[in-house]
Amino acid sequence: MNVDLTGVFKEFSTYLTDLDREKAASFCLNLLEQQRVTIPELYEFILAPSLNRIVVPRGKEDELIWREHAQTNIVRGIVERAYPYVLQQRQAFKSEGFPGKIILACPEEEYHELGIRMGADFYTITQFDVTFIGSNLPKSSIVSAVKELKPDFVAISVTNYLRLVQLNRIVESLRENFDPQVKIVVSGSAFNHTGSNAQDFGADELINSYEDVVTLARRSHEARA
Amino acid sequence: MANVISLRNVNKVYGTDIKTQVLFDINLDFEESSFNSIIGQSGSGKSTLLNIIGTLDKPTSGEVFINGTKTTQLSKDELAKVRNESIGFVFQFHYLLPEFTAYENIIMPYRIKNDTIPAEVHERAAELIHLMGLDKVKNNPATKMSGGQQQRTSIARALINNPRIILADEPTGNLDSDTTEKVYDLMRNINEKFRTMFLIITHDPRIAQKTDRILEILDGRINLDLENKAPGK
Ligand SMILES: Nc1ncnc2c1ncn2[C@@H]1O[C@H](COP(=O)(O)OP(=O)(O)O)[C@@H](O)[C@H]1O
Ligand SMILES: [Mg+2]
Repeated sequence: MNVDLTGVFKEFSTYLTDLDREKAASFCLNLLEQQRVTIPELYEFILAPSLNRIVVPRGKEDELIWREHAQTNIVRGIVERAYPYVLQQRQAFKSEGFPGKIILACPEEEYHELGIRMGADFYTITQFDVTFIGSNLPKSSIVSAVKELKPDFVAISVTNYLRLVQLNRIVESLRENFDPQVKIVVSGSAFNHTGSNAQDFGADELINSYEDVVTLARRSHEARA
Repeated sequence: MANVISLRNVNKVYGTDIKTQVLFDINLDFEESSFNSIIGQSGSGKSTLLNIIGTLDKPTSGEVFINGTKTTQLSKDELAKVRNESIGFVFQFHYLLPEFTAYENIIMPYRIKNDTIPAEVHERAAELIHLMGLDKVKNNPATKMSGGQQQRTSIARALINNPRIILADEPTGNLDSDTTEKVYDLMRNINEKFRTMFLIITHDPRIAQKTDRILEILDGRINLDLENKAPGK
């Protein structure tokens, strides 16, 4: 990185707090264009922390929920516009080979999809063949997607800790139908908040960061080679 | 932090001729001032578990400790005393006495045990009424209140003896979503203000996801026990 991330984060946060969509976007896209940050740096050190900063205290939900949604929308817009840089940065991993096909999803009633949407770009950069099938997906729909698309990995993201209850059943169902061809990886803040790991839900791997995705990709090449 | 409730190897079997086991070897601890929920399909054993925790029902085998006291050895009277002093109950159907006012219903648990009501109990009742937003209806008969007001009255009633533990079995099962939010907020306020421990059976994801610990019961067993340690919930 060629930039003071703390300073950049602060500046970005003021645009986001002001709900200034255009300034927020052009600021980030300039950083990418000038190669002052990479996609993983942008997502992990600027976009994700700025969203996690919005803590909604109990009783203030009405005032703050719309703000959280507005800011999330601005960030989602930036992520979508960053895609050309994702493809560009993907080139750096070309020589590493193909780690496999991956499907990304959130379980039923889980609506926070921006985290895994950013994750999708990490998998893309590291040469995975990525299909993001969305949030709020019933178990049967996830199973059906796996049947049809035949991935090597399924990644499930959970932020709301109540939704970890479904994760057990999703994993069980995937194991029943696709073991051992399909590896199951999990991610999302619900794991940090509850101190739980992949094994607690019968999954294979907990992915917390871009670094973890890179490691997963490398291990997958080795297994394939 | 100290445990206000502990269960050790609790089993429950219903029936003598045809035996059905509904709880299997349950081991659980609940810390003081914690805010917990129990979820699970209907028939999974949630109410049975809550009733055993509340000493309204006895386990077939195993031990229940309330504030460190082993309840399975107590006489009926001793048990009633522990229960009255330590536990408040809230049910989906609030069981208010229709011929009494909200105020009278709230002080009823105290009145049952005592002939005279001291000033401090009246003061506590007034405080609870205020906290629950019932000032305007406190002199209404129970039948002349909305569903939400009746449920808030029953929560105030559960709190009148200042118990360290509130056990609630689908307290919002009967309420619309706005009223559910209100009842949740009130339970949280009580939890924070009086450090009352809550254990709430609920079908409502909006309630469960805001509690600090979720227990999922599946076919009489603890299938999941998740504690949310995130700050600023
Ligand atoms: N008094 C009883 N006698 C016999 N069976 C009972 C009794 N109470 C509950 N059960 C049975 O025990 C199981 C668990 O019931 P319950 O604890 O009420 O479940 P939940 O509250 O999760 O819906 C059910 O199969 C129910 O039919
Ligand atoms: Mg029940």
